[in-house]
Amino acid sequence: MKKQDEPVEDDECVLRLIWWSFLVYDDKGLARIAPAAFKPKKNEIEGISVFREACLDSPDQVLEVISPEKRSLYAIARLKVADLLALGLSVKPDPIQRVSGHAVIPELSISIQMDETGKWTDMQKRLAVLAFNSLERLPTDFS
Amino acid sequence: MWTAIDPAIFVQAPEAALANDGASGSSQSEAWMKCIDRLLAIRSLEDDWDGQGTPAPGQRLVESAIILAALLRQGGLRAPDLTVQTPAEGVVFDWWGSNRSLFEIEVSDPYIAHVCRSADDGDPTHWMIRGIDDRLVPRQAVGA
Repeated sequence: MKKQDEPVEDDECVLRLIWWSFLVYDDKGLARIAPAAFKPKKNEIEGISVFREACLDSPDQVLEVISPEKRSLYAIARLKVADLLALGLSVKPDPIQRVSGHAVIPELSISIQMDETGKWTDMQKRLAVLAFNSLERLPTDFS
Repeated sequence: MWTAIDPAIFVQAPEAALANDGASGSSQSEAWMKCIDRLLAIRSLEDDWDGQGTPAPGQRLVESAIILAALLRQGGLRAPDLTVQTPAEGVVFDWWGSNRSLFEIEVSDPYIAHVCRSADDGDPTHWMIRGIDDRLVPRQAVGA
């Protein structure tokens, strides 16, 4: 298992938590993930959160950052760091106490996007497509 | 207040976002009602809706999104494929077309919205619209 303060390598994968209402279903089932799943929160000044899989015992460990009663409402997507780099993004370690392996994508920070929200929507769409093709877990509950 | 809507939205909206049978057709009436219901549900969200402490979108922002939805319908767009709150305390309307094309309007603040048209086979275009005071002028077009 990697130490969380080690530099992120190209062959790693990161996990992204996705709230259930960003999953879009049609008659055939899950159809896509909304780009909104990759929009930064107003306090994500350093970038949106991801978790390095190599620093975790299991993917479900990332759910520990969520209130227990809402963990079943999350999907988990696995993204290859190499794919993120190919999009012009990067992954920077940003250790937190609750879960090992926390990292951020600095290019998707609220401070960068504040004035150019529309410009970044295309990038968020591309991430949503990657995430759709590599879902590790679907929500087990919908409310 | 946005008492009128930026004509560029309707000019640049992809075919997939236009209501073929008119925005007042019965299927569209139902779809737009669902959109408004969704906005009302968003207005009822409480802070920490996601279990990560994210604040709910503000009442004024959601009200401006409801008015915008009415104007979009009036202008001939079909109901969005998705209406959802964002982690940044906003509201987005998404329309999808073929080739993974996306037309998105994100209300980021009361009476301020960001429009993006994106397809896999071309550069995305984006611009911001504001309430009538700022006269809804497209800006920052990329690759247009």
